[in-house]
Amino acid sequence: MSNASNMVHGLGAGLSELLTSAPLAAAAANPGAMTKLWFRAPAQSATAHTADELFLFIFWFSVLAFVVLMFLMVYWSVKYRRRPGKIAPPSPSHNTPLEIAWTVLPLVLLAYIFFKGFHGYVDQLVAPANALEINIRGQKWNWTAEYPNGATTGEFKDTSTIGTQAMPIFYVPGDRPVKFKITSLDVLHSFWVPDFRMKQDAIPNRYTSWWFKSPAPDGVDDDATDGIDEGFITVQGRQIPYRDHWIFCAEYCGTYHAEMYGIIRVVPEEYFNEWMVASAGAGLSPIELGAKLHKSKCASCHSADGSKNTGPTWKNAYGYPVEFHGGGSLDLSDPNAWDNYIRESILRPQAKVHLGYGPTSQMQSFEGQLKPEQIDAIVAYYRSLSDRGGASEAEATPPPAN
Amino acid sequence: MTTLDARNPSLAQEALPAHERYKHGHHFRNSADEFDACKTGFWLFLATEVLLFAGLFVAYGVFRMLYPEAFANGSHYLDWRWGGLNTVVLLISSYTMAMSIHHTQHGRKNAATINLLITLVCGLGFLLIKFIFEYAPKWEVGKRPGQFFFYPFSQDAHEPLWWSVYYCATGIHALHVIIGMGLIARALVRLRMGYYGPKHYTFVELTGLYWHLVDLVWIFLFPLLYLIH
Amino acid sequence: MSTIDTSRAPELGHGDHGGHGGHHGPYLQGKGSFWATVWDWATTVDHKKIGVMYLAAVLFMFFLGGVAALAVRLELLEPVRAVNNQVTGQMLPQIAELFGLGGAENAAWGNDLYNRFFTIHGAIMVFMVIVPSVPASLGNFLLPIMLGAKDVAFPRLNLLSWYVYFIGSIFAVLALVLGGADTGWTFYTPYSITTDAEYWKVTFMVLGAFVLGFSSILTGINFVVTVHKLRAPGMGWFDMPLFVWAVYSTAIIQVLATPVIGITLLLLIFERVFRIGIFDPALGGDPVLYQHFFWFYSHPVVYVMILPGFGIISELIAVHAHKKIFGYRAVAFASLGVAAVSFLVWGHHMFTSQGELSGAIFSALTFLVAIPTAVKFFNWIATLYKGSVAWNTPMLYAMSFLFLFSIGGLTGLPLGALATDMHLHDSYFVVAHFHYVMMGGTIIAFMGGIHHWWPKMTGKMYNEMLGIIGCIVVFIGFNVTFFTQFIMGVQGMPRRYATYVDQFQSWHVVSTIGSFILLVGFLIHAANFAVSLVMGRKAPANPWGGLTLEWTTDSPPETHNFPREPLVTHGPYDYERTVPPHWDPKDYPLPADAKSRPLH
Ligand code: HEA
Ligand code: HEA
Ligand code: CUA
Ligand SMILES: [Cu+2]
Repeated sequence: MSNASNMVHGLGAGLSELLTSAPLAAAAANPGAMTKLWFRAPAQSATAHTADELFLFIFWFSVLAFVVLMFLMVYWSVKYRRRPGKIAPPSPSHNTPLEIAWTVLPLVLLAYIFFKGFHGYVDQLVAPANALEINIRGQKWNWTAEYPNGATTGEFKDTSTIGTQAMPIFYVPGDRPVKFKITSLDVLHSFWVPDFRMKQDAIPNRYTSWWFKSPAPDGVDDDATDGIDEGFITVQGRQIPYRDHWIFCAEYCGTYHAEMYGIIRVVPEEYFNEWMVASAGAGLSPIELGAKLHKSKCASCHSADGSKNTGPTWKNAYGYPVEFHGGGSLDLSDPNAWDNYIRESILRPQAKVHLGYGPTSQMQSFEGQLKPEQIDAIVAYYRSLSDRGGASEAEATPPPAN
Repeated sequence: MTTLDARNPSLAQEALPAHERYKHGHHFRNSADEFDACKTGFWLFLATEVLLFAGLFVAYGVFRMLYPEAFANGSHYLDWRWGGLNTVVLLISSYTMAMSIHHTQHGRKNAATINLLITLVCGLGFLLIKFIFEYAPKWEVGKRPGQFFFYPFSQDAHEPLWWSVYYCATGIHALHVIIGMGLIARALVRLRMGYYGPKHYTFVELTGLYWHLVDLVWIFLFPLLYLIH
Repeated sequence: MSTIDTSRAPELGHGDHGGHGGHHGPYLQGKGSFWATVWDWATTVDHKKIGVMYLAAVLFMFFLGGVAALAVRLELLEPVRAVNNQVTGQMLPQIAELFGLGGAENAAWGNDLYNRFFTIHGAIMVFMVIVPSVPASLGNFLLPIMLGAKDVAFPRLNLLSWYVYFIGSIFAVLALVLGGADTGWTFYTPYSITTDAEYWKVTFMVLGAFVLGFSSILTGINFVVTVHKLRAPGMGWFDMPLFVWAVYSTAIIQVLATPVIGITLLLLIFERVFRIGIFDPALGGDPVLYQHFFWFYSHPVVYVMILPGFGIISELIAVHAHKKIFGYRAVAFASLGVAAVSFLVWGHHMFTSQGELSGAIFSALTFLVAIPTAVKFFNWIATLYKGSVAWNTPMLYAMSFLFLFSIGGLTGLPLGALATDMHLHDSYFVVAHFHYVMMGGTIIAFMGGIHHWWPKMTGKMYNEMLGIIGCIVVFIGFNVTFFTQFIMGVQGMPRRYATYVDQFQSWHVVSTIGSFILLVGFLIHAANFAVSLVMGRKAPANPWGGLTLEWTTDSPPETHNFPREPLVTHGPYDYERTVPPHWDPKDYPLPADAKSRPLH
C-alpha cells in the first residue's frame, strides 16, 4: 500500500511541475487565440458557439490528459531505465481504489461531454418557427437554392483563380433565422458550411434540415471575421455590406465532388428582401404553386379550410400530433417529421395512414407524376395553412396578390 | 501429420474398420478434445450463418415498414400450400438427419445410410418444389426482382422490391440447401467406406448441425414471406 | 541508453537439435531443392509458416497501399486551377504524362484518377493490410506457442484461410488493373451502384472485400477454439499472456461482425449486376439502410484493427520494462468490454444522416466504448513505474504508440459528440483521426511487434541502431503528415477532395512532405530487415528476457514448437520472482525472498 501512495505522490509531483510550465499557461489564458489557431475565425452562426466551446473544452481536457500521461511515460522510462545487473524493484501490480477512480472519473467527464454535445446539436437542428426556409437541392455536381417566393440564384462567383467549376452565390439575410431544407436528386451529397459549423447529408427521397442565424455583415474585416471574405458590393450605386462563406459538398459524389461548392452570402435583411423580390422572376412562389397543385390534384379529397372530406384537411394540420392506423404516431421531436410524412404520403399513401381514414387509405400514389420542386411546393403550401407552420413565408414574401 | 492418419493404416490394424483406426490430430491431447474443438468451431460457424441471414431479415423488416402494401400484396402472390409442403419436407429431413447421427453413434451403418438417403431425397424434393412450382411460374409471368420485373397486373409500384427481397432470401437459403446436400452426400459416401462409427462420427454430427440450421432458417422465412399479410 | 546485452544471455539446453530426431529441426529448415521448399511452404499446415506467409503478404500490400497514399499526397500538393483555360495543378496526370500515359488537359481525368487512388489506398489498407495484419501474421505465429500448443485447432482451415486471403487480394488487384474502383472504401450507395457502368471494376473490388471476409471469419473461428481447447496444462484463463486475450477478443468480433458485411456486400453485388433495388433510391430502396449495414460491421472492425495492437503493446511494455503488467485483469476484461460495446456504436458514422433519437443513443454509447481503452492506457503507463525499462526499438515503438494512439483516441471524442461532429464529419479531421488510430496505433504497434518477435521468427538479430533511427524517422514523418490534417479539417477541408480552395495549400504541402519522410523511415526498416535476413547475427532464444512461453522455445522454434508439452508454473509477467528462461541467474539477481513473497 505504501508503494501505491508513493506512486500517487510521484504523480502529484510530476503534475505540479507541469502546470507551472509557461507556454501552456499562456495559451490557457487566452481562449480567443486558441479559437483562431483551430478555426481561423469564430463561428458565424449564433447556434454554433456551443459547438466551438465544446470543441475547445475537449481540446483542453485532451491536452491535459495527454501531457500528464506522456510526461509520466517519459519520466518513468528515464528514471527507471535498465541498469545492468539490477532488476526491477518490487511494486504492487494493482490497486483497486486507484483503478476504480480512473474508470469512474473519465465516465463522469464523458457524460458531461455527451450532454453538452447533444444540446448543441439540437440547437443547430431544430429551427425556430419563424425561420426563413430555403430549399436546397444537390445534384451532381452543383447546388441549387429555391427561396419561398420562387426566387433562385443566377449569380456565380468568378472562379478563374479558385477552381474550374461554376460556383453559385446564395443570398441570405443577416440577423434572421434561416433554415435549409435539403434533399438530393441523384446520389448522396452533404451540405456543409464550415463557418456555421454545420452540415447535413442530402439524401434522395428524404428531407434533412439545419438552420443558422448569422450576424449582419458590417463590411469590415475585423477580428471577429478574420480570414473570412467580407466587404461591399455595389448595387445601383449603393454600397451593400456582405460576408461570404464557403459551401462544400462533404459526401463523396464522384468526379467533381471536390468542386461541388458554392457561396453563402450574408447581406443585411432589407437588402435581402429586395433581392428576393427582384429575383423571383415570372414563376410562381412555392406556396402559390402548391396552392395550384392542391386545387387540381388534391382538393377533391383534402380541404384547405378545415371542412371534412374523404381525406384529412390540411388546415392546421402541419406541426400537430398525428396518430396512425396500426399504432404509432409522428415523432414530433424530429424537425423534419412532418415534411417527410407529407412527402411520403404523396408518394406512398399506405405507408402511414392517418387514424380515422383507414385502415387502408383511399389515396392513389403520385409517384412518378410530380417533379421534386412540385412536391416541395405542396409541402410548403400545406405548411402555410397551419398556425404551427411558422410565419416565415407570410413574412418573407410580400403578400401574394389575391 | 494431419487428422487423416486413418489413411495410413499400420499392418497390424489392417483388419479393423477405418473408424476404429481413427487417430486424432497430433496437436490435440485426445479425440474427445478434438471432437469438442470441432463442435465449438462449428457452432461459431453456425453463428456466422445466423448473422448472415439476420441481415436479410433486417432488410425484410425495414422494407415491410416502408412499403406495407407492396409486401402485403407480395405475400398474396405466394401460395402457402407449397411453402407449407416444403416446411413439412424439411422437418422430416431434419428428423431423419438426427436419426442418422443416432444410428452412426450406435454403429448401425445401414440404418444410418437409409436415414441419410431420405434426408438427401427430402433436400432434393425441397429444391424441386421450389424451382418448378414456385420460382418458374412466377418468373415467367414477370414477377421478377428489381429491374427485371414486368408483371403487368401489379398493384403497387414497389412490388419489384418485394420480389428482390423474396428471391434474395429464398435464393440464398436454397444455396444453403444445396451446400447441405453436398455435405450429406460426402457423409454418405464416407459412411459406406467405413470411416464413421461409434468412435468417430464428427463429420456426420456437424453435417447434422448444419442441416438443422438450414431447416431453422426456413422455419423463419416461411411465415414471414407466406403467412403475414 | 542501454539495450540488453544479448550476447551475455546464455543459451541453455536447446542449443543443438540432435536429440530430437530428424523432422524436428527449426521450422525454417529448407526441404532440399528450391521447388521442394516452395511446395512445402505452399502446402504447409504449420501455423508458423502460415504466419510468416501472411506477414510477407501484408507487408507487400502495405507497400502497395503506401504507394497509393503517396500518389494521393502528390496530387494534393497543388490545387487544380483553370488558368487561361489551361488546367494546372493536376499532379497525377502530369506525372502520367511524363511516362507517356495520357494528357493532363482534361480536368475530369485528373479528378477520376485521384478518386481511384484514394479508394485503392483505403481499400487495400483496410481489407488487405490492417484487418489481417496482426492477428493473421503475428497472431498465427504466436498464439499456439504462447498457449503451449503444437498448432492452432484447425491447421488445414488455417491454410485455407490464407488461400482465401490470396484469392480475395487477386480480385482487388484485378479491379486495380482494370482501372480501379472510384467509390471510396465505404462503397456508399447509390453512387457505388451507378458509377462505372461497365461494372467490372467496382464489382471486382466489392467481390474482393467479400472474399477477404471469409478469410477473416475462418481465422477468427480457429483462434477462438484454439484458446478454448489448446491451453497447456497449468495455464488458466488468467495465466494467458495479454496478447492472447487481445487476439481472442478480436477473433470474437471477427466471427460476429464479418457475416453482416458479407451479406451487405453480396446484396451490393446483386444490386450492381442485377439492379435489384434494395439500396437504390431510384427503385425505392434505402441508401441509409446500406450505411447501417456497412457500419454494423465496419465499426466493430476498427477494434479488430486495434485490439491486437493493444495486445502487442501489453507484451512490449511488460517485457521491456521487466514488470508485471499493472492491473492484468482490468486490461484483459477491457479487451472483452471493448469487443462487446463495439457492436452498439456503429451509428456514430452517420450522425449527419439520421434522426435525433438514434443520434443521441449512438453518441452516448460511443463515449462508453472509450472508457475501457482509457483504462488500458492508465495501466500501461503505471506499469512503467519502478520498472527496468530498456530503451530499444520495440520499447520506442511502444512509447510511440502511446503517444500517437492517445492523440488518435482523444480526437475520437469530438467526433463522438453530436454538436462537434456536425462540423467535423467527413472533414480532414476524421482523416487525421483514423490515421492516428490505424497507422499511429495499429501499424506502429505492428512494427514494434515485428521488431520484438523478429529474432524469434527468423532466428536473426537486426541492427538495433538502425531500428531506433527508423522508428524516430517514422514518428516524425507521421506527425508532420497527419497533425496538419487535424488543423485543416477543423478549418473546413473536406475529405475525398481532388482539389481545394487556396487557404489550405500550405497545410497540404507540409503534409505531403511528411509523407515522404514516412517513406524514408519505412525504407530504413525494410533495409534493416533485409540485411538481418542475409547476414544478421544469430538470435539467442530469449533476447529480451521475456517470460511467456514463446521465449522458452528455440529461435527459430522447431517444427512442433516444444520438444515436450510445456507445464506452466509461473504467470506470464511474474518478473519479480522468476529468472527468464535461458537466462543466467547472475544477470537477473532475484532478491532472496522472491519466491516466498505473495504476488499481489
Ligand atoms: C483502429 C481504428 C480505430 C479506433 C481504435 C477508433 C477509436 C475511436 N473512434 Fe474512430 N474511426 C476509425 C478508426 C478507429 N477509431 C475510422 C477508420 C474512421 C473513419 C471511417 C471512414 O469514414 O472512412 C473513424 C471515424 C470515427 C467517427 C466518425 C466520424 C465521422 O465520420 O463523422 C467517430 C465518431 O464518433 C469515431 C470515434 C472514435 C472513438 C470515440 C474511439 C475510441 O475508441 C477511442 C478511445 C481512446 C482514447 C479515449 C484515447 C486513449 C485514452 C487516454 C489517453 C486516456 C484519457 C482519456 C479519457 C479519460 C477519455 N471514429
Ligand atoms: C491502415 C490504414 C492506413 C494507413 C497505414 C494509411 C497510410 C497513409 N495514408 Fe491513408 N487512408 C486510409 C487508411 C490508411 N492510410 C483509409 C481507410 C482512408 C480513407 C479512404 C477513403 O476515403 O475511402 C485513407 C485516406 C487517406 C487520405 C485522404 C484522402 C482523401 O480523403 O482525399 C490521405 C491523404 O493524405 C491519406 C494519406 C496516407 C499516407 C500519406 C499514409 C502513409 O502513412 C503511408 C506510408 C507508407 C508508405 C510510404 C509505404 C512504405 C512501405 C514500404 C517501403 C515497405 C515496408 C516494408 C517494411 C516495413 C518491411 N490516406
Ligand atoms: Cu456532391 Cu460530393
Ligand atoms: Cu466507428
